[in-house]
Amino acid sequence: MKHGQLLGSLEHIVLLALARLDGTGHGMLIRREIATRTGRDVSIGAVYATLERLEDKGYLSSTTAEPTPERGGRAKRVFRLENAGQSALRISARTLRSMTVGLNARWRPT
Amino acid sequence: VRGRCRKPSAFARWLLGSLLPISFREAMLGDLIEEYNDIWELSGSSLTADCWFWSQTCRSLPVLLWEVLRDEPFRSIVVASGVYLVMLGLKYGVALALANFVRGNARVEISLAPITFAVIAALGGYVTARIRYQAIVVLTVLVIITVVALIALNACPIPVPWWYRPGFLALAPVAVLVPPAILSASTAQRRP
Repeated sequence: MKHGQLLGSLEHIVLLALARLDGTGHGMLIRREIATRTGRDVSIGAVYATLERLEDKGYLSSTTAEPTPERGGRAKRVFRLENAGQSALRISARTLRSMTVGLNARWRPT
Repeated sequence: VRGRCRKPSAFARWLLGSLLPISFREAMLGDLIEEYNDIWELSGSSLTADCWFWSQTCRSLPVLLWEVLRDEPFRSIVVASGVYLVMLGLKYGVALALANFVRGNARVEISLAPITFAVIAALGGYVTARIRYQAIVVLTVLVIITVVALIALNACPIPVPWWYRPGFLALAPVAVLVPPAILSASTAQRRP
C-alpha cells in the first residue's frame, strides 16, 4: 500500500471478512460473513466489484474452481488474501487506532 | 435436497448475464444461484427466494454498471458512438427505402417500423459486443435517450395507438441486449 493511501470502507470490510475466513473464500461466503458481523446486507455486486478492485491492487488473488450442479453448472471463484492485503489491513488498523485514541472519553453513549 | 438446483427468474439471470463484466459473470451468477437455493431450502418458500434474488439483482446493477463504465470509459464511448452513428444511418436508409416501397400506406409503415428498429438495434448490440463488451451499456443508454427524445418531440407524424410509443421504449434496451446475452451464453457453453 502506497504511503498515505488508505483502504475504502467496503475494501477494508471485505479484506477483514476474508481474513476472518482464514484468508480464502468466495463471494457468497464473504457477503455472508459481512452480514453476520456487521448486520449490513451488502449486495453481491458491490462485493464482487470490491474484490475485483482489490485483486487489481494486488491485495488478493483468485483461482477458478470446478463448476458444480448446486451453482447451475457455474464455476466458483475462490479469493485468497495476499501478503500485500495483510499489510494493507495492518496499516489501516494502525491508522484507525492512532486516529481514535483518546476519543472514547468524548463520545457519548448512544 | 442438497445438490438439486432450482433456477431463479430467467429474466433476472439474463439481465445480469448481459450486463455483468465478463471477469466475474460466471462466479457471481453461480454464487447467486447457490445462495438462492439455500434461501429456498431454509425458508421453504420460492417467493422469499425470488424476492431475495430480485433485490440482489436490482441493488447490484447500478454498482456493476458503474464498474463496467469505469473500465476505460473513453474506449467504450468511442465504440458505442461509432456503432450508434452507423445504426442511425442504416435506420434512416431503411426508413427511406420503406417509405418509397409502401408509398404512404401508414398502417404498413407503423407495422414495419418496430421490426426494422429491433433488427438494427440487435445488429448494433451484436457488433458492439464483438468489438468491446463494456460498450453495450453506453449503446443501450444512447438508444434509450434517442427513443425518449423522439417520443418527446412527437417525431412520428402518423397517428399510432397509445401502446406504440411505450412499446418502443421497452423494445429499445431489449433489442440491444439480446445479442450480447446470446453471445455471452454461447461463450460460456464453449468454455471447458
